[in-house]
Amino acid sequence: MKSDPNDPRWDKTRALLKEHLTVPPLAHPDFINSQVLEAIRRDGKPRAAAPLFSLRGLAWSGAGALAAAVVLSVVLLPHSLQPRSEGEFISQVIEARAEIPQLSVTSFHAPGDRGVVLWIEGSDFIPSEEAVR
Amino acid sequence: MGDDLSSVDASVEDAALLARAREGDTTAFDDLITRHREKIYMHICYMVRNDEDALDLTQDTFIRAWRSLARFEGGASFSSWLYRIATNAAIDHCRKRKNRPQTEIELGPMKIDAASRTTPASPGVPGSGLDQREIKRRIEAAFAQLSPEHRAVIVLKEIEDCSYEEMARRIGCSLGTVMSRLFYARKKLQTLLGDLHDEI
Repeated sequence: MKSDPNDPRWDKTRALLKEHLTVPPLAHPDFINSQVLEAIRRDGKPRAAAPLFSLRGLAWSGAGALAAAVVLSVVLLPHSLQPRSEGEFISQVIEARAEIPQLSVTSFHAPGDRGVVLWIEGSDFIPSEEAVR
Repeated sequence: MGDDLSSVDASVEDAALLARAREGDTTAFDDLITRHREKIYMHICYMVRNDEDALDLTQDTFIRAWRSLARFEGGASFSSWLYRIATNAAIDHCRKRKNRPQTEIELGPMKIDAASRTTPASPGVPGSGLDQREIKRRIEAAFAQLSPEHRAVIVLKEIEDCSYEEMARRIGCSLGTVMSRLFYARKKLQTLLGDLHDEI
């Protein structure tokens, strides 16, 4: 079934629609005005557009959040960036030795580095604290 | 050319009245209603096929427009914007009415002259088996079977002779959607009224 607007059958259908799909004229046009005006007088002035999230509001919120993030970064980050003195560490590795004979433990200190590497050999797993002191 | 100019003039006058109405000038809005009420009523009436409902929906369209004046950005013409509100109101109404049982097309009261004869006022087409009332009834019945969206495109294109672009503005959807809806609406009407061509 074609619905091409140039189809002669559709031309016939269109002509039938135009001829028979009619509507009565507006009988009392001023009635519409009076009804609408009565309703809008109850309403008052047209409502101003006040969307909950305006573009300007969202932009200010974003800028505020960014500023807060910058301030917090400046206040909190310097403590973690400065090198700590040895006294600040909770514990220090003085000597590493294994209680279990088949384990060998070696500690590597790197001067200037902020940590010690413990190298444990002879086990496929990390031994408990009692095994390595 | 003359039509284009008068259409531009109408848009300019609408814009001036609109600016005043936005400030709360009800007289300006009254003028806007007067300028557009007839066309809006006809458009809605074509879609809902009931003059009383069309009258209510026309009023509702203007009240909605008043409440949303601040949101009208002026990208489209006031007329297109009004048509969009009217079309949406008519589509909503058709959807709600679909749930109600409906047996007859409800257009206008049937006026019977007491002095009239019993013979039909509009005789059948010579050589055909269908009289004008039967053709009208068949067309109304076919139109009633269309979805509200399909009714809207048929009314805009076939009755009101709108361009595709204007249809898209008045319905508030893309050009592709308009063309697709029109294709299927025409196809359905052709299917429903196909045998009518043979009988006339």
